[in-house]
Amino acid sequence: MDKKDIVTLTALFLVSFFVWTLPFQSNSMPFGEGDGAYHFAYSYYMSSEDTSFFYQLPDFLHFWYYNFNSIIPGAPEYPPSSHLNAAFMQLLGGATIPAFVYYAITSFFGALATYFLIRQLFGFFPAALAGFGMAFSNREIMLYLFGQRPTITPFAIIPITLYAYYKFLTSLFSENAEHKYLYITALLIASQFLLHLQALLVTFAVMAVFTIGMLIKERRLPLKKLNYKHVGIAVLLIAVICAPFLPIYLGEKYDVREKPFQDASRLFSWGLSAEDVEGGYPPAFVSFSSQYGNWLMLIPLLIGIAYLLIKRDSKAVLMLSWLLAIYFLFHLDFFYGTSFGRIARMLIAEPMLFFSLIALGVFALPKLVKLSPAARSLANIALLSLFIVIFAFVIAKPQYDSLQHAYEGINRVSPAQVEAAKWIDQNLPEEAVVYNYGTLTYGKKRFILAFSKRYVDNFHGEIVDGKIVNPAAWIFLEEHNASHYFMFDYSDLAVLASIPQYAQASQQQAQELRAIESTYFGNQSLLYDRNQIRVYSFENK
Amino acid sequence: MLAGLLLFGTTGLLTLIAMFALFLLPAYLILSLFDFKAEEKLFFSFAIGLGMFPLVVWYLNRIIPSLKLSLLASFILVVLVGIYLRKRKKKQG
Repeated sequence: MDKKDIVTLTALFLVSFFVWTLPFQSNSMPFGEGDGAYHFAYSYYMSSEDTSFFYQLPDFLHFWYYNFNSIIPGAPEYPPSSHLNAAFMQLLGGATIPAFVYYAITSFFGALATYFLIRQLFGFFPAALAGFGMAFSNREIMLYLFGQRPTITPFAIIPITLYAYYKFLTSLFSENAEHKYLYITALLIASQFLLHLQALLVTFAVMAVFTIGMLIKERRLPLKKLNYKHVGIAVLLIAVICAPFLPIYLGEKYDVREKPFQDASRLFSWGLSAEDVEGGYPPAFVSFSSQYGNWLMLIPLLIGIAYLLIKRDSKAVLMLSWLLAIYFLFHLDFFYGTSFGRIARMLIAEPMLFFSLIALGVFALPKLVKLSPAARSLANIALLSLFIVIFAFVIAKPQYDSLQHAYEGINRVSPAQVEAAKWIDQNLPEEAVVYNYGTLTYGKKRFILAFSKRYVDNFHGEIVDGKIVNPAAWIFLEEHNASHYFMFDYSDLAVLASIPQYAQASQQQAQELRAIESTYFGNQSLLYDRNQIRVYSFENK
Repeated sequence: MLAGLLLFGTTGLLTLIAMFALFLLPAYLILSLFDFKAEEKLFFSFAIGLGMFPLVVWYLNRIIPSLKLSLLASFILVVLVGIYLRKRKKKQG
């Protein structure tokens, strides 16, 4: 690592840190959709209760995806690493900013990891460009904003794991086998497993294709160099670290879409279409232009692939294996019947590769012309500068804007709502279920759940003759002998009422809420009445 | 660290120090025993530390009934292991 690397890595870190922390620089309230609140709830519970989960979630989190795990009912959905890391930050510095700094860094870490891999394999210039592109990667930023933050971190580790495996596998074909890289690969695989399983599928797929690719390239089995004792220990290491958490993943109820091998036309498209992810992700999530700035970026991307196909050395085989592996994974709906929703989350395996291929394509151009070393160096500097400017306008600018304006105003849980949630935490029993009326968005309701450490949701049932009749799906209410509370939150509607275009609709909605409140809760105990938020206990007759 | 301080005051500074101390330092000390390049150590350590360090805390928290104390004990434990292994390697020559 020379001065150039230190300066570039520092610059990448600082730019990314500034940009990715924009959503909470002026508003320290947490942000995100339901998933964001879910992950926040895990870490907030652990830090505020000074404990960690041992195969059993507290009721309010268990109710969210009730009996999701078929092996251990009530088990957490994830091994502990990601949420514990956020909890450590919260223990050391407070509930929101430290946790969100952690999530920001581990979400943009992919930019640094991409720089690392490409720098080691192909040199400084493509690494700098690929790293800069990744710092503003649309898909990572979207998932980060929505709140699927623990998913991003193990994906960010993929380039590092691939590098370690590359070093190990290629060493088997050289003079000295370097088994230390095998152990690092094993530890990185275990680390990915502990953070989130999905990225590990990508790692394994690339490693498998790369191994086959290297065997074809070298036309021999490197068995003499392979020390089976080391391989055995490495496998054992992974098994020992991961085995205690296997029931968490094995007990998960998968959502297989339909029979595989149905629509062969899917094989002739790359990722997913906007229709495939409708309702789950916005069209920009799957759009090439939103991700890479312009469809013209296809040109350097294809040049990059062509360059690797011509090169065909071990490094090229690794990158092409990555391409083939994610093609296979992006078509798991065809090969395995996997749902588009699950494949969509895997799409964040693409930007690290595609930005690298684009960068390789850009810096392959000076190699086509015979140039002196000095002229080539100048050409590389010019190309890097030019493409950083292009990236700044077509990729970085829109991402900067979306981060700067993410979850502004009443789209984010408010201090008044957090205050009410903390009151609930202090005053209501653990088995309390709080039905929420009035809070503007689903994500905000779920952040109230996180801060209150009680199950908070919309009221899906009916009140018949003074008794709550809940839908059959909410079986947990009876099984856990839940007590019922209702929260009437007029605080968001009051803000909306002050905005002319929403005034009439919000006043009408507030009236409807008041009607429900007076009809059903006139005789119930009012427990909390502050900042236009009221909480009632409901005696279920 | 300065970036954390400038944007979020002492909270930001402490968070960055904590991330460095918990996720990077222990694994870095241990990987320094082996012949890796500086950048390899840096990236391997952070990526391994993110997954492994909390696991140590999680196991210790099964014995120590406080997450905060488990965190402190784990940090001391892994740093001591790193220092011990370095010293042992130096002695061996």
